[in-house]
Order: sequence, then structure tokens, then C-alpha cells
Amino acid sequence: MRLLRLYPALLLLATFSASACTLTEVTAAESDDVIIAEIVLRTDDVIQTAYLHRTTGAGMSPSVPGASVVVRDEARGLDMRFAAAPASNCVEPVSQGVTGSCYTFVGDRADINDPVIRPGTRYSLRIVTADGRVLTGVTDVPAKFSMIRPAPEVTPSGVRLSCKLEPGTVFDLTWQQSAGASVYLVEARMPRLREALRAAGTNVEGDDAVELTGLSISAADTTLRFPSELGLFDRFDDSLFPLLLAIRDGLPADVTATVVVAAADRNYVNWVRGGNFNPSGAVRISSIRGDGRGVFGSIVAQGMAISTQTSSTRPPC
Amino acid sequence: MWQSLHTARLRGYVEGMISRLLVLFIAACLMGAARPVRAQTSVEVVVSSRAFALPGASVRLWTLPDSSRSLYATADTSGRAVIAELPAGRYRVRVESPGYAMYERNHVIAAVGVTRIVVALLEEAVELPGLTIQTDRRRVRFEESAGASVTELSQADVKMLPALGEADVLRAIEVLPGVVSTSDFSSSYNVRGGGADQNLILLDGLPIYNPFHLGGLFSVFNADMVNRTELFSGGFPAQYGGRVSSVLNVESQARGAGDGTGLDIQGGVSLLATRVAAGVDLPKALLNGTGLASGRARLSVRRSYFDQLLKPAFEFPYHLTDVQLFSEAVSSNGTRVTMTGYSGRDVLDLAGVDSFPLKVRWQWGNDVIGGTITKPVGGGRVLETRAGYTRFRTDIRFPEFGDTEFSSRIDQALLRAELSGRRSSVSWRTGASADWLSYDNLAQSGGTVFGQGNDSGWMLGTFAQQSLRTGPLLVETGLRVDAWLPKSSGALASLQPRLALKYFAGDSENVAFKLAAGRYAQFAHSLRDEELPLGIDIWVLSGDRAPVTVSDQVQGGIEAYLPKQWYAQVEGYYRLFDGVAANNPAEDPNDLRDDLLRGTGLSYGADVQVRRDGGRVRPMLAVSWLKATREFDDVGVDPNDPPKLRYAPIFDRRLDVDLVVLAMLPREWMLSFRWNVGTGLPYTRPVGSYVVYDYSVLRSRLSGPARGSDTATAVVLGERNAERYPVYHRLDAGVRRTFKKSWGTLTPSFDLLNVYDKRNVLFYFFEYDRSPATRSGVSMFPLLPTIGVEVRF
Repeated sequence: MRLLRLYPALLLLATFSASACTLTEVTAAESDDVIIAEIVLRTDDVIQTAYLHRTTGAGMSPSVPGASVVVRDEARGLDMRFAAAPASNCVEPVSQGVTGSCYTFVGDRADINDPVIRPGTRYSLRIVTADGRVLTGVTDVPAKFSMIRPAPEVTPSGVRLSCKLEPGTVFDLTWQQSAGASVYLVEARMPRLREALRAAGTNVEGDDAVELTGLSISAADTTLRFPSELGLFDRFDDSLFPLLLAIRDGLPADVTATVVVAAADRNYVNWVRGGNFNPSGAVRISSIRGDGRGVFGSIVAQGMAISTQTSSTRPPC
Repeated sequence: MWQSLHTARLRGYVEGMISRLLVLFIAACLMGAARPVRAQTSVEVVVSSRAFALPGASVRLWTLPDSSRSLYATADTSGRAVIAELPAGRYRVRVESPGYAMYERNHVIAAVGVTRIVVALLEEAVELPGLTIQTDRRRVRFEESAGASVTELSQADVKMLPALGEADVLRAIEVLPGVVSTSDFSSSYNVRGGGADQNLILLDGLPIYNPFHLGGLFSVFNADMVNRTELFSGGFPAQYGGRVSSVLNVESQARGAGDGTGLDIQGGVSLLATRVAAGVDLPKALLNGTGLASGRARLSVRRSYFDQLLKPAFEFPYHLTDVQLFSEAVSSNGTRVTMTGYSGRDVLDLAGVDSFPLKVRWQWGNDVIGGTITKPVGGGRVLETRAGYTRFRTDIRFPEFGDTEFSSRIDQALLRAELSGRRSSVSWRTGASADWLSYDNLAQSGGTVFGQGNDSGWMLGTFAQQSLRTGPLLVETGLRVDAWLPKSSGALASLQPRLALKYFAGDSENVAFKLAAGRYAQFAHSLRDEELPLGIDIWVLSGDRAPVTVSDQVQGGIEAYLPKQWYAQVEGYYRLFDGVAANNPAEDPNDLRDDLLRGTGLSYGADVQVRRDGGRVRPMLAVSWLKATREFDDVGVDPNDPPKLRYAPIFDRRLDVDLVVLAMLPREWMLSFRWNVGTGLPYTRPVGSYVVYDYSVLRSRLSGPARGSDTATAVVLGERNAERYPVYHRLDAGVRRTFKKSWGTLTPSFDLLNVYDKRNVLFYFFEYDRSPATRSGVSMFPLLPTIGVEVRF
């Protein structure tokens, strides 16, 4: 409902802010030093990451070195102690602006039946910084779910999720409900999409891989039309707009998409969707308590491949 | 701590007072019921012009031959004035109404029953706009109304005030005591600490849900069609339900320029829009068989013209259009029939703009239609029946993405009947209503529903109120019962007693002390974030997803009519709100019922008004002192176990002063000034900002700031609304002159808003990612000259 409320208002606000006048008075402002912690646990990865940074302009280095980061499996009573790691383990790409501190926990088991982070389990977080500040949080990992379409395929090397899609057609990605999920994120990476669209006669620029996101809100919404419902947040992007129009009815031939369907918890959703209006910037709802802000969320993900290559031997979508 | 203790004590005091008043109310009802009824003689004067009733006309009777006793009454909306309990005999009857020749003749009042005198006034050219009628109506209300805090504005008042582009009713009421406006950009208003959605806005008795064009910049009311406007800022009687903070009545007029008959045309051009209104007498053929003797209809059309004017330079794909119709007809026995129709649309169509990549069509608007029959039913009683339909809808479409839709609508069909009468010193009114309401809100895109809500149901209401005058004391009692029967949940009902006392002092009874208390309820909320200066109301109805707002209110004060047409009023109030709604930014997508937070509110303050109702120079001073708070769960701290947060809402302007001077100078020159000063409104200061990293599900990592200067930042907020913007002040001035021509009148106008170019703060921007970090901002209206011209013939 918030989008419905805010979109018209923001559009009008933008229009009329232009007609208002800039205040001549510009004064110096002092920022508080607030630590921001971003931890999203994943069930499909043996490496868990915690990225700590600070509010800008507070006269402090944005990094948060020397912190103790501990995530506890509340059911088993096991602690995972994170260690300092290169920033590239937490953030990609690493550019000049990435100045926070990365901490990781690397699990010693790659067993899919006993992952580092277990679906349907509660985890708690405790961070103690070098200057004694304490940040805490709790996340309930959504329950495990299975894909329905494409259907899981048992192969000698394990379960495989992939399918072949006819060019110029769409299909409904469908999965089972994940208890405790607030949203399902669907992200697709298509390295050769621009080239394939140009080959099909659509005028799109660039050669880089295209990454698009789709969304299904609430645990009960377990379908997403592929690929037409992707790119939800890119419809105002000049560079992607023609591309999104071109894939409304399906992908061109010779494209392989790497797709992840992820069930995310409420903490994750609160952090990314934004809170009340403030003219100075986005407001996010923190799931970190104590001496800082941030997110302590969790994700259960399923990866798959969808191809429109005519030579593909994958089962039909 | 002290604040909480103090508030708890006051709350207990008010709740105790409400309980006591309930007992008093029942006792007063019993007193009224037990009062012996004597056989009375009375006179009913029905006042009309050749084409329509003349509400507000003053009726005076003197006994003959010695004029030892004088009696006074004012015509109601049906043009009827009733004076009861008078001895039979000969009387001199005088009837006056501005713009009409005075009627004065002798009549004999019969010894038994009701003597009816039908008076048809003839138009008179000499007219001083809106002076006498205001004085009389205000005086009558002073004498006959115990509880309500009412202020009236005539069309002339509205048109004389300096305005943005063109005269606007909602802008005009900002000068009244108790009314706070939070932004130059919005004609939305707050009354005595109530939310903007707690104001009932009526066009000829029909609710308007979103009475704004251009996101709130100005209202849907075309001043050419408005006869008068009255704002009940508190203590409104039991006949009004559905909102807890105020009632704004906007009455249309069928009468046009000149003598009020035949064809009249009025038009104008302002910086915002062009408009034209035309009035005609209803043809006799149309009235034949209806029992109506005469009637008149008026139609207005208004359209903005920016889109056409700017087309050669650049695309401005926005326009507004509205059409309003009002007609009234009267029968020889005093029956009055009125019809109101309104349809307005704002359209922003970016689908044809090449420079905008995404094709968007966005439109919103109100549609209203309804009619009222006011009919005398004998014994001085009047039956008023009203039927109508009102709706507001908005939708945003993306022609290239059919899976995307943002839409909202609310519909209300209403049927009402009210019976009123007067006997001796008791006047009474009772009524019932049955309304059908429904709403449907939807936001969906990319195959998923971001938010939705819909419901419908019956709203049933009934009320009774009476006013009893005993010596210097006027006692007003009332009881209203509203029941909302939504489809989605069980019935919700609210019992709303009202009690008001007024004590008249002085030989001429020019001074009155008054006290009023009551309970008010409302079953609808707007989701619009009031912290945004512009926006559109998205309505929801009470039920599973939204609470019922109940407000207990006490107000008291003193008002006085002073020599030389001066009037003064001081009034204090204390209001409690339960079931106030606010958006829940941390709503759980799996819980359809947590979209709104339920909270409480408190406001108290005092309003002072001093004005002069007559003369060529009419000053008005309004001083409003307010303290308002709201209390909600603080989901920003912890959505699962939120603490309570009390804060000052955006409209908590502690002191607001309005000084208005209207001057009618020789040779038809009119000058107007408005100076408004208000203490700073609250805002939430960000205490820091941080770089936003988006989490990539594909890469199991955060995405770094990708493009240098495009780095997105988010803010960490400090205590909610703990800071205040600087003091607001602004001087507006207007001048207009009416030129009388052989074909009619021509009135050019020139208004200057913000004469001394005060840069009042609209927003501060805290930019902590700069070095050094800065606080900058944007202002509201700068110095803004506007011109317009109006013609009437």
C-alpha cells in the first residue's frame, strides 16, 4: 500500500519542489557516529558475511575494525564467531566507496542436508565493537521450500534445477510456500541478453550482463511470470527500459539465465523497503537493537538455469 | 514523567466530566420532555425572491399600534422563519435581505394555529457584498446556538482575500481561529489538533472525500458557485456525524449577477484556470406538474490551461477540469428543492511525452450528485430529505506494462431525513440516515500485490437534539448513534452524547459564557502521509484493518457582541482521540490487518477571535494556541515488540496568528491584507546518513556503491518531530476594482503573496555525505504576484 501512497505524492513533491526556492541559508551540520551492521544469513552458502560501517561525516573512519561478531544457533546452542576478512568477501564490486569492515564465518561442512544456516531456525546476533558498543538482533530463517516449476531433476551428481524455454514465450516460475517468508526475491542474470536482443532486431546498448529482479510479496504468493515480471524496479531506468519492453513476451533465442528464487524474512524486507518519508533520504527499519542500526536478516535460496538455446537438452519449462 | 502525570490527570478529569455530562444530558432530555406544552399561536414567514428561497433573510415583527414588543427571526435554508408563542393581533412585519428591497407591511396574526405570510422580495441594485447578512446570521446563531464554534465566510469574503491565482474556499478558512495549515503548497487544513482526514467537508450537504486539485494546491470549490461557507471548529451538534474534528459546510448558490433572474454569466481568468458560470431561470414547462412555482439553475465549468499555453515551449501534460451544477426551486407553499452535481478530474498524462521514458496516465477526481427537498409539514415543522452519491477515485496506469495498477476509490450513497421544529422556547431536530459505503485500494506490479484493501457496508445513524431557552440560560442536548456494518467484520457502533450550555449576560444579552462537551466518532481514515506537503487521500473504512476513531471533547469560553459591530470570542478546548490511525511502515506482508497502526491523541488549546462585522474597513484577528500529541507503537525501534512513542504531529503549530483587513474603498476599490505568523512546525532531524548497499541474492554479497556520485544514502533519524522549523510568517495583499459597464461588471485583481519575500522553510535537507556536512533546504512560496480578471453580466 505504501507504494500507492507514496508514488503520487513523491511525483507531485518533485514537481513542486522545483517551484519552491532554495534557502539561502546553508549551515554546517553535525553527524552522530552510528554503526551500521548488515548481516544476511543464507542457507545455501558455507560462507556467512557481516559488513560493518558507520554513518558518514561523523569525523570517524567508516571502518569498524576489531569487532566481535557472533551468531548463535538458538536451537543447537552453537556460536559462529566471525573473523575479519577482505572487503571483497562482503561487497562486490569493491570500489573506492567501500570503506567498511568485513567479517566472515566459513563453515566446515558443505553438506546440503546439514547446512551452516538451517531453514526454519532462529539465530541471534551479538556484536561488540572495539569501543564497547553492543549491537544485537534476532532472525527467524524461513522454512525450506522446493521448486515446482521447473521441477527438480535428480541426476547422478545431485538434484538439478534447469529447463528449456522456447524463445518468445513466458512461463510461471512456481515454488512451494516457505513458512515464515515475507517475500520471495527472484533475481536473474543473463550475460548474453543484450547481444541476443540486437540479433533479434531490438536496439539495446551495451554488452554487460543484465541482472533483473522480480518480487512476490507474502509467503502465499509463490509464482512469478518469467521473464515478463522481472525488472520491476528498473522500469524508470532509461538504459533498461527498451530491454524490458522487448522481453515482455519472452526471451530471444540463445540466452541462458542464471536464476535464484529466495525466500526472505521480515527483517530483510523491513530493511530494503524503506520507512516513513524524510526529505533528507531513505529511512530503513532496523532489526539491529542497541548501539547501532542495520539488518540481521536471513534468506533461503534455490538456484536454477533457464535457457532459450535451441541446442539445449534441458527439460521444457 | 511530569508530562505523563499531568496528561493522565487531565485525561481523568475530562473522562469524569464526560460521565457527568451524560447524566446532565439525560436529565435535560427529561426536563424537555416533561415541559408542559401550551396551545400556541405562531407566525411562519416564507421569504423568497422571484426564483428561489432566501435563506438568511431577517424577519422582524412589532406589535401594533404601540411597537411595545419586537420579535426577530432569520430565514433558514428553505427561506422560512418561524416565530412562536406570540399573542394574536396586528403586527408590523419587516423582511430584509441584502440585495433586495425591504418588505414592510401590517399583518394580522390569528389567535389559533400558524399564520403563514409569504413574502416575495424584489431585487435591488444597491449591494454591499456579504455585510448585513453575515451580521444577522451570526447574531442569530449567537442567540440560538449554545455549543458550536462556527465561523462563516460569504462569497464576497472568500473573493476578497488575497489568493494564489483565484479565490479558494479552503485557503480562505485558513484565516479562521483554530485552523492550521502546514504548507503553502497545500490547501489541506487541521482544526484544533485533529487530523486533516477528521474534517467533514460537505458541498450542499454531500461529503467530498478529496476536495483538492493538483495534489492539494487548491480546492475543488469554484468560488463563483459558492454562496457561503461555515466552519464548525468544535462543539458541533448531533446532526453532524462521521468526523471528529470539524465540519465545513459549503453552500452553492443559483443566484447570479444582476437581479438574480434571467440569464446571468460570470467568468474569470486566473493564473491557474479559466472558468465560466451561467445561470438561468428554470422554464415553466419543466416545473409544470411538480408543484414548484419558480426555480433557477447554474452551471459552472473550469479548466486549467497550462498544458495548452506552454505547448509551444515544452510539454506540460497536466490539466484539471471541473463542472458544477446547482439548481433550486420553490413552491408557493414554501417547499424548496435543490439539486447539486459536481464532477472534477485532474489528469497527468505522460504517455505522449517523448522526454519521459515511462508512459504513465494518472487521473483522479470526485463525482457528486444529490438533491434535497425541504418541505413544511404543518405546525411550524419542516421535513428535510436528502439523497445523494459521492465518490472519489484515482488510478495510475502504465500503458506499456499492463501488470501494473495503482488505484483507489471510495463511494458513498446516502439517504437522510430530518424533521425540525420550534415550539415556544424549545427548538428541536431529529433525523435518521442510511449510507452505503465502499472502498477499494490496490497497488500491484510485476505480478505481485504490494498492497490492497476493500470493504463495504451500511452506515446507519440517528440523532435527536433540542435547544431549550430558560431565562438567560440556553441548554442544548443531543444524542447521536452511528452504527457501521462492514462486510468484513462485525458491527461497530458509537453512542455520542452532546451537551452545551450558554449563559447570556448583560442587559442586551450581548455577552455569553458557554460550555460544551460531547463525544464524536468516525469510521473512515485517510492513509495520506500528512508530513508530505502534497498528496492524495487514500481512504479506508473501519473494520478488521482500521480502527474507529472516538473523540471526547470539552470546550468553553466567552463571546461578546461589542459596540460598533465588533465581536470578540475566547474559547478553550481539550480533546482526546482514541483510534487514531497512521501508516505502519513495518507492516507484515503476511498479515493483511496490520497496514495501519492504532494510536491515541490529545490536543488542547485556546482560540481568540476579534473582528468587526460592518463598516468599510473590517479587520479580523485570530489567535490560536495549540498543543497536540499523538502516541503510537514505535515500530521503527522494534516491529515485534514496539515501545510506545509520543510525539508532536506535523500540525502542532503552538501559536498561529492571522490578521486580516478587508477594506472597501470609494469608487469600488477593494483592498485586502493578510498577515500570518506561526511558530515552527515539528520535524524529525536525521542524525546521520550512511551508504546504501543493496544485497544481491545472485552473488550472496552486498552490491558496492556502483557509480561514484550516484551513491545512494539513507538516514538515521533522531527523535521523532523533536525539532522545530523557524517561525513562519507571510504577508499577502490584494487589490481589486469593479468597473461597471453597460453590459455588466469587470473586476480585475492583483494579488501579491509573501509581500516581503520571507523564505519560510518547507524542508531542511541534511547532507552528511558532503564535506563539511551541511543543512540546506527549500522554502515555501517566494514573492508571488498573481493577476486575474472576472466578468459578470
